[in-house]
Amino acid sequence: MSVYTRIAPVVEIRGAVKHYRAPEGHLVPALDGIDLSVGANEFVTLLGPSGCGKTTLLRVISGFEQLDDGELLIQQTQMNSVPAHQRPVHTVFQSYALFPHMSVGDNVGYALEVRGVGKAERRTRIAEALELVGLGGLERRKPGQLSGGQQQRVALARALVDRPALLLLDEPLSALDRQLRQSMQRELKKLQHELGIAFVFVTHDQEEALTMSDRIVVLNGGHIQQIGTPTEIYDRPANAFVAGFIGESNLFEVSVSAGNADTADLLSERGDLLQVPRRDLQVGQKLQAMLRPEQFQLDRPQAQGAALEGKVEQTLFIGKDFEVSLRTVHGSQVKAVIRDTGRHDLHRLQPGSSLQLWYALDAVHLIPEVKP
Amino acid sequence: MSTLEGRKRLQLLGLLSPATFVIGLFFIAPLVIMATYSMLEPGLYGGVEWNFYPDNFGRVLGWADGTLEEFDPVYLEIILRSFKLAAITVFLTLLVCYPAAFWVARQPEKMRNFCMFLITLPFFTSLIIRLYAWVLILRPSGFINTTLLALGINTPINLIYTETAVLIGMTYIFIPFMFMPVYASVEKLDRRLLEASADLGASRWQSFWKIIFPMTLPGVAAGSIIVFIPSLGNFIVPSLLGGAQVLMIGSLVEQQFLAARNWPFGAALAMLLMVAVLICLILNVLAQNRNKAGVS
Amino acid sequence: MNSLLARLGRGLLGGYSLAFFIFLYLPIALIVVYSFNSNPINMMIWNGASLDWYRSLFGLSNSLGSSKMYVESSDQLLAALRTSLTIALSTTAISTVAGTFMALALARYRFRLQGFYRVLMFMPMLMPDIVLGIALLIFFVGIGMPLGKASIIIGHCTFLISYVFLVVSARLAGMDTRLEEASADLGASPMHTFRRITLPLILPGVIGGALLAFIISMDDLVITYFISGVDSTTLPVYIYGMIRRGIKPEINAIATLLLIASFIIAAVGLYLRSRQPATTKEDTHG
Repeated sequence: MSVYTRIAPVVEIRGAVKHYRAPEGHLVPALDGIDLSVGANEFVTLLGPSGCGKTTLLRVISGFEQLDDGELLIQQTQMNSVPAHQRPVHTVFQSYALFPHMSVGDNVGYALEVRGVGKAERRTRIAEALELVGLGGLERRKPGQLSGGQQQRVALARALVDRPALLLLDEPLSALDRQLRQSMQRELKKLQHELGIAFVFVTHDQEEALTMSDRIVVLNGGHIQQIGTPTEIYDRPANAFVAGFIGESNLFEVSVSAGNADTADLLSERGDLLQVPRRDLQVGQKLQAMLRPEQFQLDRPQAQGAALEGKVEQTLFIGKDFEVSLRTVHGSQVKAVIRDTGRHDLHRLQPGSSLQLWYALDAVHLIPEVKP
Repeated sequence: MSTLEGRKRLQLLGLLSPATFVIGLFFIAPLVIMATYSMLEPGLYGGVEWNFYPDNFGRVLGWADGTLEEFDPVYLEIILRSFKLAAITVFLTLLVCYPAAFWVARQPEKMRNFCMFLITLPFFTSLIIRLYAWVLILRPSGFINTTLLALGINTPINLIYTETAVLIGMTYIFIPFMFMPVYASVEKLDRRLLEASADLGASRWQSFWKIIFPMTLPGVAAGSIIVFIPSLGNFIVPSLLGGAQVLMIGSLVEQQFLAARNWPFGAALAMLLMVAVLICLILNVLAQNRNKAGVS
Repeated sequence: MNSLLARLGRGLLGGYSLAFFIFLYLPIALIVVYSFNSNPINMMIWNGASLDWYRSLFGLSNSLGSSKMYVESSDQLLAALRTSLTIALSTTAISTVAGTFMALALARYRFRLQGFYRVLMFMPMLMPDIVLGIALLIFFVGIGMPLGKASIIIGHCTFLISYVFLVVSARLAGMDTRLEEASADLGASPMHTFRRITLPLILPGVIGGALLAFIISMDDLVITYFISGVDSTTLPVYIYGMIRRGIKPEINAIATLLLIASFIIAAVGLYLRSRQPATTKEDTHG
């Protein structure tokens, strides 16, 4: 459990189950036993491929979908059947969903108008909210006259104007171009920190998730695959799905072949040999071993290390780094990312040349065999 | 949960009930009663006798009294003529609209919008007045004959009260019905195909029939259906431009209700019309489904 | 050679289309022109311009001298116009509400009879007028309801609800449902959402549907013809009767006035449609 949830959580979900009826008639699970709690002031990202259940989970919290089973608490109150408009939660929609017939000011002030906040107070708070997102003075424009990035900010201001306990963001940056997206990521993160509002952010973009989140919830097939901080998720993926979905990885199906004094040998199915610190491994135990491409280097590391040997198949300059595809002597494909700012090692990376890719033993992450 | 669902149910009921009430009571029920009437015996002075009497339908086909002895195809002829005239109307509207749709689709946007405005406008103007215009044009002392006379041609041509007059009238009033769906399908065509069609020389005539026409077929089919149905049951056009010479099913129905006072027979004729329309619609749906199946 | 053929083909197509528009508008133009013809014997022979037929329409004296014979008919004409307007306005009100409600129900709720209702709402539009006309006649006579304005209003509503339904449904289908979700999400009750979001956004469709209903109701001849009573002659039925009794120059004048009225309505309607803001889907996906 992270530090955030020890203070009273904003949202708690227990055993959430939600089915959809497929066109063919049978039920398809969209959420299959989800447990999650989001702390006040926490930035939690729901990450997964499309159809993993992340949007459904968001819509359950906002009140647009009802749970078939399980419990939803917002600020310690059971909210399973409370209609959307009575929940202390606002959403920033993927398509922004700005009201096209209202001015920007009326859009932003909508939540206040609904609550019967007086005109004068509304005006100051609208101005504040627009100022907050850097759009001060645009009250009178119509949403149609704004650029995509500006619309995005209006949507944000509209959802923040009455300081909800929790803000839900449904892939809000997916329609923006790369540069704008990156600056918005930083800005969102800053806003969240300043306002102290909990954010639940949905995305299928792992980079976005890693950049912004306090915690990431990796979802697939309606199940939570892993919950953790970005570094936990990246460095110690709980299973092959997480390892493959977040960042690039080299995965080996291995079994423990021998135990030495302080190391253990792992033999891959193809015959590659990997070495790891001994820990408490049993000979014969089946595991998955993961090495990130950037954990390889061309020379023996200072810490205890080992190497994979093979022939270079392809080398690509990907800006800053070189991406090397290596075919090991046993036929496995290994991907490594090598930094060579001085271009001293370029000759070693020529396709066809033999190469040793070194790694530190404690860089190898082991994933226990998935129980069938 | 229950209150939320309950309130939604109540709202739904409130939204559905006005239309359900009007259409249920004043559309479905009258049609059911009409169907019943078509199988009742006509009374002596209008009205009906409540006896089962299938001979109304026999009479439509030519046997007035169920003995199958005296075959009198007078009604059958009118029915067949109605189908014939409706089919020709479909063909004529298509002939008129199809090339024009291509031309309009090729115009710059402003011109295109203006053309669409011109074609929609008649739809907003009174039907009876648009037909009256043709009475003015076609009648013996009308525009055409007066013009001919002024040109020194002294033999007036008899135009009104002919099948031709009815066809002109129906084509005229149903042009917007055909134009819209045909235009929609033409506009969807690839621009390059349109340009190719603009370049149609004699040698490319076949490419038109093999490529472009089939691609606009859905629009043609939709237009044909929405022209055919009201043409078949029309009685205003034959009454104004066909007179007593060119009767159609609609004219017959009108006679039975407002002059001959044989309501069951009139109802039987209307049933026939309704069944014909239903068959058209079902054929259309089947054709659409086959098209979809072909694509996927 | 080829380009010559192409040019020829394009020229032919243009000429054909010009003929198409002439065919569409020449008959209407003739009515308007001849409504100003002063020739009382043969209205097709131009005899100088005059407003005589408009004057006689309103019972004013004209160059023919006495206008007594026309006064009666002008009263009837105005009565028919009043009847038509009464009926069209009532029909428009009822069918706009019922059609819009039905469109909302089918677009925003999920229920078992949805498929049935979709088919049902199409039926009245596809039914030939004359079948609906006589079915209603049999029905009203059967239940002993006198034929008159009420029966005509009911008769028109049966099929105009469908038209309104169709227009409003198209508008609803083009509207992003996320907008309503966003409204609820920001704390608006369903009623508030409807008033502030849904209704303003579908209003052009509702107005368009109402306009369509009004025009069709004003113009309906066939159904009205069967279910109108002695004292409830509508304008189209009246004009139909006039034409059947014989062509008189006054008809040209009436027709011209009606054409002007309908052109104005059409222009207003099309203007409203073109003025619709680039709303709903387009800019929310941008």
